[in-house]
Amino acid sequence: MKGTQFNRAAPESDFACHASSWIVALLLYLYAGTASAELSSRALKALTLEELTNLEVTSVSRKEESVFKAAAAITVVTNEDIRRSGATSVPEALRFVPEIHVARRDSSSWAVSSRGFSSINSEKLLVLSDTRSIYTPLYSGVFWSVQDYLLQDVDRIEVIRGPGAALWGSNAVNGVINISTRRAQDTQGLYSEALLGSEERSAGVRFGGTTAGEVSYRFFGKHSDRDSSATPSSITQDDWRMSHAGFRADWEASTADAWTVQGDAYYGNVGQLSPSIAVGGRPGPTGDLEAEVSGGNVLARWRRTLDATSDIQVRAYYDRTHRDDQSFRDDLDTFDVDLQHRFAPASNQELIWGVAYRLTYNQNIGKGIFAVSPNESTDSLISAFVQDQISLSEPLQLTLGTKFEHNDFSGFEYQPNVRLSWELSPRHLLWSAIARAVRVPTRLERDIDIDVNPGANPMYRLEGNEDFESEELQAYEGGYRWQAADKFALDLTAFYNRYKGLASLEIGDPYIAADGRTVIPIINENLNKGRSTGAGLTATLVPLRAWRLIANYSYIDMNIERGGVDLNNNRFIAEATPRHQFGLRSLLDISDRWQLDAQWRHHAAIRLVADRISAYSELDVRAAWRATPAMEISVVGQNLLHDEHPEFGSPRTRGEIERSVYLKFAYGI
Amino acid sequence: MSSDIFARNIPRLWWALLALVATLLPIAVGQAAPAASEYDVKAAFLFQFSRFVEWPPESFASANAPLTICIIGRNPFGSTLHEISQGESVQTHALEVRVHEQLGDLDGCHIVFVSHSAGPPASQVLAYLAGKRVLTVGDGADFTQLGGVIGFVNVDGKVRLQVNRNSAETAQLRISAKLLRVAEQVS
Repeated sequence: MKGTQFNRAAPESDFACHASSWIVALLLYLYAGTASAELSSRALKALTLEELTNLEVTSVSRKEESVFKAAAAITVVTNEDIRRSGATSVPEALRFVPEIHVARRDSSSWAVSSRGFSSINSEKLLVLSDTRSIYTPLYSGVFWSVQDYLLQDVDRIEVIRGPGAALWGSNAVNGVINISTRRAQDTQGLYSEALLGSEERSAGVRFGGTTAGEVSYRFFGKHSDRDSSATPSSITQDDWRMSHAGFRADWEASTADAWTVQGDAYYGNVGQLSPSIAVGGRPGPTGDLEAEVSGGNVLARWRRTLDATSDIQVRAYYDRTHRDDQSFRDDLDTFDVDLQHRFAPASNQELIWGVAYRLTYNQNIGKGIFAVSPNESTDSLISAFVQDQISLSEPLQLTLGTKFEHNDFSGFEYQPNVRLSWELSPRHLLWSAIARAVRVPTRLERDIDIDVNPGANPMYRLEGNEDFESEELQAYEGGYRWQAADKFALDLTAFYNRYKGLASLEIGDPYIAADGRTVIPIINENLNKGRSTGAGLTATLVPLRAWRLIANYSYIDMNIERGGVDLNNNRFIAEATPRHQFGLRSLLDISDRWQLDAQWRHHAAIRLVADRISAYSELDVRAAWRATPAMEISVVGQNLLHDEHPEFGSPRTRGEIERSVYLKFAYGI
Repeated sequence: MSSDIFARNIPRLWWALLALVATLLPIAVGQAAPAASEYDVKAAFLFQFSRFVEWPPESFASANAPLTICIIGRNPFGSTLHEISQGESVQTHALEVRVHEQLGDLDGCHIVFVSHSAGPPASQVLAYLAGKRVLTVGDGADFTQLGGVIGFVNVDGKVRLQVNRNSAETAQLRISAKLLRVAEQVS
């Protein structure tokens, strides 16, 4: 909501004005919900053998099995987890994954990090949406605000903590987040939702069908409108709007061939509390700061099953993003093609190998003080990977893999890993891994060009550094999983990371410019180094069949030493992640029709160079009513413990997160 | 700014319109197609098997002894199989669902579902149950090849059945023609 007293009142009165029209909408909904899209156990057992054999099914269990046996710290956030968390955005849905730190800086930006290095850039975390990278090479990070999905059609979010670079490639240093949408076969029929809340409003519709030629498809659209956060010290506002639409088609052309074609596009206006780029000593853009953002992509994938143990897959996509704010205008075009082949060279081995090529074209036009030079840059990335999973004996699995790549920023990179899993019994699993991963330089680190004190002599100039290398991680990790019958499960992970060549801002060798003035360059160098140790725990208890309790705890201890001057205090990023985080979720099915869920979290204090953010706890509560088999009405209260609280950023750049409540209608669930 | 106009003046109309569209569409388009999760359907099949398979009377300790459906390995059905079976009986035998890890616990089971994950491999389970009066059920086309009685195979997004009649005979089970009609028979 808005910052000043005057503005703060406005949306609330809006809310009241709308109440009457929403009551009408609610009544219409009650009428509408007659169809059944999900079968109750009563309905299931009434089906005849013939009906059962003709029922379309969705497959949900396969991944759970692989998760239990995976030799990596992996957590799957399912569609149901997302719905029951009350989250309305991807970062919010990740709050209860251990070792992940999610902190909302303002209404539209989140610091999402894995195993430390919390920052708005989240540069050491790779994020993929249906295998398409949504990580921007400009400054390494994800603009979370433009990832505004219709969450009902998100099948799952796989979160891998620790290096995933051997499979996924560079920048998968501290983790990989893999967002997967549902297959078109699984999103048939109509779904619509409307959300009305004190801080946000949104509406979304999806329609899925199947053509005579057995091609399943869906179309969807969503629009959302979020209010500003509480900004007592800022005159700017960070309210934002996003529209998103797209499609997906899946076709099983034969028993061996499967095709997927999908695409989506978005457009939005995102209010900003502070400029994207700020340089100490230079006045930044003033006035109402706002980014106009748009983008779109198309992706095609073909998979052929060769036999029970082998398949081949080719995937290509084109992606375009546009961002225009008061600091710069940035356009990025990405073309990416990827081939992978899986087969069993021996009865106890499964080998996957692949090759990929990515071409990016970026144009960044600086405004005011900001500039990158050259404005335009075309960069390519060629990579190959191979991974062999070997069953040494029935319970012992060894995985060896590596990725090789050549990129235009740092040249050749290799990122190997070794993983071992030991299934002590069907219910106990131990695993460990050693891996190397790198975070490649960003375009800003290579090409930035800002005069800090133009006209002065000597003049300081923020310059890109062609010699800046990748940051390197050597990671050691291990874990233990225990599935005690169906009542209790435990997942414990621990890690020790050593980082070399971390970025620091340093003073370069002075030179004489063409106009005779002395220029003192300020450049990125790889002079910091660090280490971190930590652990993550998830415990699931099912005291009753209808009641699940999930607890998690994360611990991280991090230390970064500077090797040079470290002008921008990069070493203090070690203190930006809370040392302790706790979470507790309770998911209760009161009856077939009623659900009552609550989630509580606690974060220890953090420090962002000079600014401390105190420890805080927050609580969300959700009550949902299945009015008809296909329709759900829910009320969600978020951040209930405080009127408003800060999570990230300095007092100048952050907005405080306010207590909020929303009402949601979902039909076709 | 244009966005300010958008944010402050249009919402009233915009939201009312969106709400109307979102609420009216279900009425306009009508019923959503039913879909079920794979293991919900398989749970329903297991329940039906209890009715379409006949066990020899000796396989029950008494006339009131339960008909026991066992899962070996991890339970992929969640609570569905328990819910479906709750309060149900076949003739005088109440249905009972149990989840086991050890082969030795399978004595007294009438139906054994061999879970993919976290259990002994199917070949071991089948070897252990060979000669016993047990309806063995498992996933994949190779399950009946290995000597299992009924296999679930996924074909075109549907769950189809395979029946190995030799295995059924060895286990002294009589499978109703109704069940055989919807299944593919393998040997």
